[in-house]
Amino acid sequence: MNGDTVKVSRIRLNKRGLGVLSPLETDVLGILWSNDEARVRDIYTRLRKRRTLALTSVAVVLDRLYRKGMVSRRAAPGRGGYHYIYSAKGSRMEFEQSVIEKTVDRLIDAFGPTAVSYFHERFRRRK
Amino acid sequence: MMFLGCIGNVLELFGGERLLLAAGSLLLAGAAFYALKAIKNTKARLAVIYAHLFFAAFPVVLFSSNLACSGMCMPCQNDTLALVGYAVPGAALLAVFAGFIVIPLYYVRTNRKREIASGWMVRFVARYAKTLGMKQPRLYAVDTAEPMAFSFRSVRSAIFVSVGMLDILKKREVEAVLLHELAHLRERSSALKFTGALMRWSPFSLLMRFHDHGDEERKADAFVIREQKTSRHLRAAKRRISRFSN
Repeated sequence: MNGDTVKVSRIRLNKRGLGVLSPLETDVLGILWSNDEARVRDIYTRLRKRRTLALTSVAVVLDRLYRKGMVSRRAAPGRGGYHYIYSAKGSRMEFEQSVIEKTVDRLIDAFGPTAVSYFHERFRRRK
Repeated sequence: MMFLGCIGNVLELFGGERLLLAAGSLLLAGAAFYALKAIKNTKARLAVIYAHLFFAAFPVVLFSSNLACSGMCMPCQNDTLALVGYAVPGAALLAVFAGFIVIPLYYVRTNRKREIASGWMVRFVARYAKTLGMKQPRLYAVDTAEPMAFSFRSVRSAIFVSVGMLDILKKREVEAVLLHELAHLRERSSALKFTGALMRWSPFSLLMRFHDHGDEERKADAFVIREQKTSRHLRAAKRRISRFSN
């Protein structure tokens, strides 16, 4: 094993939080994956049915996802001036693939032949 | 001619180290201008704009000072160190004054595609501008998620509200923000005094908090509460803005 330590605790491996995202980020992205695009208020209205949260929290999360490069946005005119319309960059599958790639790469970097051997064995058993 | 004083070789005025300093300063001005595209943070953008203005003004003041020194046969003629001593504060002063004109024009130009030309916000601002006896300011939406609003009274009055703010505030809360900015514009309608609000856009504001709650802020808040007959919407707007920043 090399000197680097893989912080496995930072990779949440349950479906609730998709790997590197917080639960709220996952929920917000989930809505964008289901719809082509949405405004902050639209996403907030949908999420409010399942959990208690503030409109500002949704706006903050969307801005964070935008800065991470996971969503795109454009300012569009509408009632009450201008509003952001957000859309996901890439599909849910593409995102999941990206997380898996990065996770596997990190495991291989950290554990080298042990990891490779494990993956090999695992895929062999699945066949 | 008296004006020519001790100007012998004109080329010498612009030569040597002074030319290198000027060239370097112009390069830095260009770099600052180029860097502006990549900077999103408002305070950082202001800093870069003022840096650009300073570096652009520096060669002008440097050579003008040398010309003046030569014309009046003063010891500073072609004395680079002395000339830099004049040019630095001179360029800084020029940058500050240019900033009061350049910065408002810059924000109008970069946000003109998102001018809010119709709708309830425009009608609201028009109504209150008339009541306050001032020319109707233009309304612009700034392309940033950070909730903020500011106003200028320069060549033409303008109120800027970020798209992020319009996303998170309710109608009455947006009205509170617009009233707040209208109050600022009204206060500045007196002689060109460097109030706390104007200083918000000067280089010195970079040393102060962006939302400095000075006397002008309190007056603007009081105006909102008076007009809306409640502080509820103003407090709610401030709460939402604060939540976003935290």
